Amino acid sequence: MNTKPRSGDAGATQPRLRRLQWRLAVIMAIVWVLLWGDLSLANVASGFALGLLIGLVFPLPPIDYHGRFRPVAHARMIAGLLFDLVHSSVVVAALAFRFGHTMTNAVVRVDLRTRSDLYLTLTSELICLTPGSLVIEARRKEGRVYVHQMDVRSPADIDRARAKVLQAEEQAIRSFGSDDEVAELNRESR
Amino acid sequence: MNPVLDIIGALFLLFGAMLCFAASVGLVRFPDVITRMHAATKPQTLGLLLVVIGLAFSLQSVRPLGMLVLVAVLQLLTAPVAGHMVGRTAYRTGHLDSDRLTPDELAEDLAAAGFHLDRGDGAEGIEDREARE
Amino acid sequence: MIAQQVIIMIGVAFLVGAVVMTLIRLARGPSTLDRVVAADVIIAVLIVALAMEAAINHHATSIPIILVLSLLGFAGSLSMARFVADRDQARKWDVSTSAPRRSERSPEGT
Repeated sequence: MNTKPRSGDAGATQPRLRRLQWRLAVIMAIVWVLLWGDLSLANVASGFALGLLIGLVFPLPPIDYHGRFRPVAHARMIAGLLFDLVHSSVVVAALAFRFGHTMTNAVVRVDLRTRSDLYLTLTSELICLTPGSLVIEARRKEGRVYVHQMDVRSPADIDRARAKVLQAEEQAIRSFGSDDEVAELNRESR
Repeated sequence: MNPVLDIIGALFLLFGAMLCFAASVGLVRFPDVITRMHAATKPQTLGLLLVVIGLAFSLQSVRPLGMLVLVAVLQLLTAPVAGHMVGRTAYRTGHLDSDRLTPDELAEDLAAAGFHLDRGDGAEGIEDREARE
Repeated sequence: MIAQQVIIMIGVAFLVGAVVMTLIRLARGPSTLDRVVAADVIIAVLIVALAMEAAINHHATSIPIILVLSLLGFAGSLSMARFVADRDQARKWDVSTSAPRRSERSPEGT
C-alpha cells in the first residue's frame, strides 16, 4: 500500500527528448542578457538562439511536473533560505572557534512525503544550506534521503534534523506543487 | 563616488573575508572530511553573497549588477551540489570518523541489505561484528 | 576614502590568515577529498581578494573573473569527487555491480 501521494513517476528515467525546449531557451536568454549587462534586441535574440541550440545538443531528461508556480510561497521559501544561510554560517563558524568540545555527528534517514525528482532536488538544495546538515545519499525510487547532521548532542537534535528536512520539503511543495498536493499538505497539518 | 556607500561596501567585504577566515579555521580544526565540508561550504556561500552585495555598493553603477546577480544565483545553485557530491564520495570511500557517528542509519540500512562497508580506518567491519556474536 | 581603505586592509589581514590555514590543510590533508575542499576555500579567498581590489579602484573588469572562478571551483570539486569515487569505490565497497546501479538499489530490496 503506497501512502505517498502519487506525484511524478520515480521509476526509470525517461528517454532524453531531442526537441526544442522553450523554457530552457528563455532561461538561457535571461542568463545571456545578464552576462552582457545590457538589454538589447541582439542580445536577447542571440541568447535565445543559443539556448535552443544547447537544448538540442545537450538534452536533459524531462521533469515530470504537474504543479504551478506560487510566487508568495516561493518568496517565503527564499526568505527562509536566506535566514537559514545566515543562521547556519553563524552556527558552523561558532563551532569552529569552540575549544574543548568533542563533536558527535549522525546520519539520519528521512522518508519524504513525495517521490518526485523535482521536490527531492529542491529539498536537498535547501537542506544543504541549513545549519550543519548535508545530504550524503538520496534514493529516488523510495523518496528517501540520508542527512549528515553535525554536532548532535541528544535524541531531540535528531528529531529536529528530521523535522527540518520535512519542513524543507513542505516549502518546496508549497512553492511548486499542484493544487492536490498543497491540499494534501493542509489536511496533514490540521 | 559616494564615500558612505564605499564604507558600507567595504564593511560587507570585511564580513565576507571574516567568513572565509572562519571557514579556514573549521577546515583545520574539524575531525573528518564531511565536517570540514560543512565548515567550507556554509560560510563560503554566505561569504560570496556578502562580497557580491559589497561590490554592488562599492561600484555604484548599474551595468555590472546583472553579472553580480548571476554570480549569487549560480553560487546558491551549485554549492549544495558540490557539497553533496563530496560528502557522498567521502561516505562511500569510508573517509568518515565512524566513532563520532552516533546513529548511522545509512550504515544500518546497508547492513540490513547485506552490504559490507569497509571504513578503511581500522574500524571493524560489519562482518567481523557478526562473526564475533 | 581612508576609512574604506582601512576596513579593506583589516579584511586583507583576515584573508592572509585564511590562506595560511587552508594551505596547512592542503599540505597535510589525509585524503584527496580534504585537499579538494581546501582548494575550494582558496578559490573563495581569491574571489574575495579580487572583489576588494575592484572595490578600492572602482572598476568592474574583474567581475567576469569572479564568475568564472566560482564556476571553476564548482566544476573542479565535482569532477574530483567523481574521480575519487570511481577510483576508490571498487575496493572499498564489497559489491560487484557497477557504481550507478548500486545507488538505485534499495536497502531492503535484495
